[in-house]
Amino acid sequence: MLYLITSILLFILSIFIHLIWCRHKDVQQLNIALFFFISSVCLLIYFGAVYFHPYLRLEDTRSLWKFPLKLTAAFLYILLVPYYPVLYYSSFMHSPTQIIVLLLKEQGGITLKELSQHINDERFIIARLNSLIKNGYIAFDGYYYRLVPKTILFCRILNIYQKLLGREMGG
Amino acid sequence: MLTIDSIILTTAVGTFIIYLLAHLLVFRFIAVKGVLPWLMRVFFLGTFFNVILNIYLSLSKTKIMMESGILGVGFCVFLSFIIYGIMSFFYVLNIYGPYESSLSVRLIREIYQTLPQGSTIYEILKRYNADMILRTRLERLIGSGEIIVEGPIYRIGKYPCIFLTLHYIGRILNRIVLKTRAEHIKKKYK
Repeated sequence: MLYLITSILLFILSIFIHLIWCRHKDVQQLNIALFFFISSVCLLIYFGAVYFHPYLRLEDTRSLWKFPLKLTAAFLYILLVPYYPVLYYSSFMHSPTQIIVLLLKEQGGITLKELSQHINDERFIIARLNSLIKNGYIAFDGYYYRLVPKTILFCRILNIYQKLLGREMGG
Repeated sequence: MLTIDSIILTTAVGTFIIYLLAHLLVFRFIAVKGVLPWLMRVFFLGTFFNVILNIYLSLSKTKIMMESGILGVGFCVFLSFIIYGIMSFFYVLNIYGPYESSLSVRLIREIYQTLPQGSTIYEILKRYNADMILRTRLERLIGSGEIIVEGPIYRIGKYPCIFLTLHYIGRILNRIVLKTRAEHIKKKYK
């Protein structure tokens, strides 16, 4: 239990340090590389503490408090780290599913025609294509949309995954 | 001799591999409306294997487990399940989810189909458009019971909606980061 609490507290600490840092930056973004750096430092602190601190070094299989879970706690920490940015970004990305359920939640009931006013090509196709161009995933010459080399590689990987999965193209 | 740490990690990772194989096998035969319920079913199948693996290792490695007692064994099983759950959820959220439902991924793949020439907006819209997006999502949400349809009206169903939960968690996080930052900037430039 002690090792788990230590790793979870260090995870919360890394989020707090990151949030404090974000408060002092003018750019409205999450500074994700910085978060990974902070969380890596916290992980090193964890390993340093459990292998060198006299109290944390001792394990005892009979006591739940000092149950030998050094590696499990570290593994749990590593698994939790990517969840923070993923959940954060999911609040920015308004997916059509989120919009549908939010509309249904707010309005109680809604028809297909009303829903289609919110889910339209301008909002979900054109805007996404523009976002892909802006982020350098595709190129646009005024008439044709084309893929850049890194996106072609990404598509090839997806094709392998599709073969493994045996499903049609998603979307 | 296995340590408690290695028993937990072996069962969690082992179960995740079983989950992944079951997922790849089962999802070949699943229609769009069955995606969300089958994600849960495959997860429960993995949970079943997780418990079986834990019991097997607990019985075969009695020396460690006897020392730790029933409470210790229960705690190990619980931790193994939590780690398996986090890994499975991560896979769905970041690998399978984007493949199955990301608009950007689909658009990129549509353009990939027309290599090296590329696609015009009209060609893209002919193959993938807002109407298709809406119908696919409604089918998925009805299939999972998260929304129901009464005549021409769509309503929130009786099952808890994972998309709403994720939205609210993200919104809180977003508010903490952006609001505090906005207040700081306001003070700074006053």
